[in-house]
Amino acid sequence: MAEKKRMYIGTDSGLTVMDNRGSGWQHCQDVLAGKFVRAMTTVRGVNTAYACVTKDGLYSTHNGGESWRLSLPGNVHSVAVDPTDPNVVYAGTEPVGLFRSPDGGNSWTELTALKNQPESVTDKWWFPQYPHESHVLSIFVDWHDPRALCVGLEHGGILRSIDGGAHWQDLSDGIEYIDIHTVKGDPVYPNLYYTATARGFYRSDQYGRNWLFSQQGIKRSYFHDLVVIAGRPPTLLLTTANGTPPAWMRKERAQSAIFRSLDYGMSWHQLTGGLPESMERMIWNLSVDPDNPDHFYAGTGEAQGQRSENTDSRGGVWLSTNRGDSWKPIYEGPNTVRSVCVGLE
Amino acid sequence: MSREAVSRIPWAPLPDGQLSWFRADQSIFATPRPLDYTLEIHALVFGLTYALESIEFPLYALRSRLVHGRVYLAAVPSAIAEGDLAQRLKNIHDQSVRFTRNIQQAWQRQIKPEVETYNRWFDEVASFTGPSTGLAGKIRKLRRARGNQWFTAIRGVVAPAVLLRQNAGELDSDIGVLAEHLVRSALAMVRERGKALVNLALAGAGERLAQVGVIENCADVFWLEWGEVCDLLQSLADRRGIVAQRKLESEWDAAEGAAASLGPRLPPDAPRMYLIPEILRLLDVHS
Repeated sequence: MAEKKRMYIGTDSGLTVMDNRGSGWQHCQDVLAGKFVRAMTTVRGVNTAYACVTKDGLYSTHNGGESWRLSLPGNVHSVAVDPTDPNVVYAGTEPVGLFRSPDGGNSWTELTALKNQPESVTDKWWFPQYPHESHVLSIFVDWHDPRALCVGLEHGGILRSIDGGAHWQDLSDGIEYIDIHTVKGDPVYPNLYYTATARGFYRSDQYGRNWLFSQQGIKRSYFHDLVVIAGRPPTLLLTTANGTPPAWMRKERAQSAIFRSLDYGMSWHQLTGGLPESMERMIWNLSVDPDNPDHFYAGTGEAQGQRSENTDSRGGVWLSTNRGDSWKPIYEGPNTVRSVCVGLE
Repeated sequence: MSREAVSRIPWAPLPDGQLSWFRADQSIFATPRPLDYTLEIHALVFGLTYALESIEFPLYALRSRLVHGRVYLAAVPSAIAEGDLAQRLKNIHDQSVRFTRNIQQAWQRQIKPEVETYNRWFDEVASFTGPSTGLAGKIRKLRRARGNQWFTAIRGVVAPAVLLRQNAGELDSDIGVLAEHLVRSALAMVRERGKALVNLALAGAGERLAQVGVIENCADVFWLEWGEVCDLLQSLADRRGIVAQRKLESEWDAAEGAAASLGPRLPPDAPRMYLIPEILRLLDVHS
């Protein structure tokens, strides 16, 4: 009997839950109406999912999306689950803050050492929109040692802790524009790190120190999400566009594309199977099916405050069942999709 | 300088000694005292840097330095921008499209309210009557707030006005006229009103310091640096000597000539200087 799957589609105005019992995706319910669901993650096998709602908090469900509760109030932008212990959850906030829950989101403790950095570091924490506060947009918990944490700050840089968050070190050297969107480690080589920033893709083979620009084959200038799928070599998928979101008001809009690397981020090839060469919408988010690492999901949509003319549809989800070789749309909706993930019952 | 698609060594910004510095002759930079330089000029350069880089201008940052009492600026090159300058200039051009949609509405709904929020807060600091340690905390936050105010005005109206001039042939000329009108409104609120309120707050700090005798009179606070003022409000150590010394040095500086530029020569079409002279000129426009 096929496992039942749930797909959680987080948008800039609510969260849609889809159901798949083996015969395709069916709409299940809409929740968190009107809320900006910026990021999500699921925990395999326990019907648990977490949804970050900006200027509101982290919501959790433990029954496959049927009911949600506010687990951590605040301006939450990111969430990650410890790959070695599904009860341990991290949430990243604005202003810069990192919270840890040891019990699936029932209780939280702030890892205060992160925000207590020297002025030379915190001076770099800034954001273009009022109130000009940076935030934790990406959290990586090391596959090899869960005491090793790495956070990416949107307009702030990269910090890493090797003692579970008691001490942190700023590791932004080498990155010219420290608007960090995603930071990840390699599943096999613990020294290898990757980061997608607003203006470049970088890799580090020194545990996140001394980043090197690595964009061979990429013909785009903006970078957002990155997934790293275990393997030798791993498969890396990167979402890109041209220019920062304000430039997407042009006729061609975001000009987004997905690139794939099969050599540890050294070189990249654009994925065009089923995808336009240049997409008008941004591909905000990528995720991997927990049941099948060949299946990827991509969430698309407009930039905040922008809207295509002559259409009621603003976002969608694409699926690839062959590690990105080909893609097909599986969902269209009225709101921008900022995050998509799949859970198994 | 262009950038390889794969770098072999980590990128680092050029140090001051390798930059080309030009004298900033606009009135907003004229003969700053230590507090003007470390607060107001720092905030202005902060706002300029973040505004220009957020609109994807092809530079890494602007830096300032003080030589014989005169402000010099330098643009730090961006390897990413110069690695694909055509794309970067296209992005800037595309960003300017958004300003043509409804620049007046953006000003009314977003930029003006934010600028006014800062002015209200500066006013609160100026009228703060609590303990000096509390005032020290507020003055410590003043520089970032002032930098954000400059950022908002430059990104929202000053830089767009220059970009709209650049694209003048493509646009309705009314938009350009409107943008320049908004620049004058923004400068009146930030350069004039904002600075007056900040100076009022600093003079208030000076009055407290003069009352306890650590400086001779309230205006002497402007001969201290921003960080020193924050510390002094707590430590209340005698600073009359250092103020006298700085006043004397300022007189000596005034007698020195000031070269138009320092450091290696920069070609006039250097990407890092893209539209910067035009933006500085516009910041100096008076009604």
